[in-house]
Amino acid sequence: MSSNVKQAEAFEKLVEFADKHDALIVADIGSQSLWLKAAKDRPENLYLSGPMGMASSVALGVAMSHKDRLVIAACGDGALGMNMGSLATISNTAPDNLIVVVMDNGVYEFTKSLPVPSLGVNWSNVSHTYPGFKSTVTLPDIGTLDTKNGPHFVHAEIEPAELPPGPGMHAVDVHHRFKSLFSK
Amino acid sequence: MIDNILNALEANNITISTGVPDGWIVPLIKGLSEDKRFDYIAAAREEECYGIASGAAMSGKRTLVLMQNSGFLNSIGAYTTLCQKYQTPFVVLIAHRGGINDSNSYDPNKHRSFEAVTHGMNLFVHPSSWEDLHINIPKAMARSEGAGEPAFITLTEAMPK
Repeated sequence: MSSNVKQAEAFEKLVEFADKHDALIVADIGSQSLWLKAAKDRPENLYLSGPMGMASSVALGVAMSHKDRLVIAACGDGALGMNMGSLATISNTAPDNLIVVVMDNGVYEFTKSLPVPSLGVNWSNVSHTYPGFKSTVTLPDIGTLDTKNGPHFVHAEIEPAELPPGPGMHAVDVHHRFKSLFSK
Repeated sequence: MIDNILNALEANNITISTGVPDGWIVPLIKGLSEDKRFDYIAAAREEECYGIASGAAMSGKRTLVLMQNSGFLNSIGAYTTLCQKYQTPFVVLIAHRGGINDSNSYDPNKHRSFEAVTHGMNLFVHPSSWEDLHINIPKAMARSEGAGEPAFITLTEAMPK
């Protein structure tokens, strides 16, 4: 599924929410990391550049490490489709401080916009299928979430077929910049 | 024996663990799951374990990962493009099935492939007895952090009764 919301606008909305809650964001490889960086480069962003689908799992590790910080996983629909088991793991672990966002444009942006196999997935039903998630909302309603009582799932319908701007960061630099947040 | 391992983990600030079970390591998984000093995250797939452990490592925390040798073989892509690329340190405890002490006749291929692949990738793999795990896991963690990469410990038999 897709809508006329541009990915840049979706990430601006997500960063605005994250800033308000001093949240950490873990973003999947490709579009998610690069659009997030373009929206606002911040030390609280953990950009992944491989493999596809790990943002939800890495974010779970971050959330379990710092239970007093809100953590957001920014996932592509193609990426999350490669790691659907992570939704079961998160549901079972049920960390209060985790929000999983799927950026749903129905295509592999970086692979000539081929359609993703998760096209038929009903993302708006995630918290029913995986009951450890307390709720599922759309991105425009992210501000209504009880951030102390997660995990939550957010379905962001976005426009397909627009490659992100600018370069990423080296993986080791991303690692050490992010880790430095916790060594103060 | 399990108490010794758990106490050593706590003493070395290894309080997060994640894994996909194998019969040999169930006693340790149960110990981690039932002890409130630890968070054990039951993962659906081994790639997730690398994600969880890498997220924790990049958050300044120490993690123990538990899986079977075939789980490592399942997840090599995630290992290389996440753990090696981001240089995330943690310890992976492997139930190294299919060796001479394993009565499961269907496991030898896992053993042979794990040996070949980890040797080919030049990974740090240290065999351990159950009795020495409480010493070897902290040593492997120190080695992992020094090298900026995961360290593997292999068990080649079930926990002695």
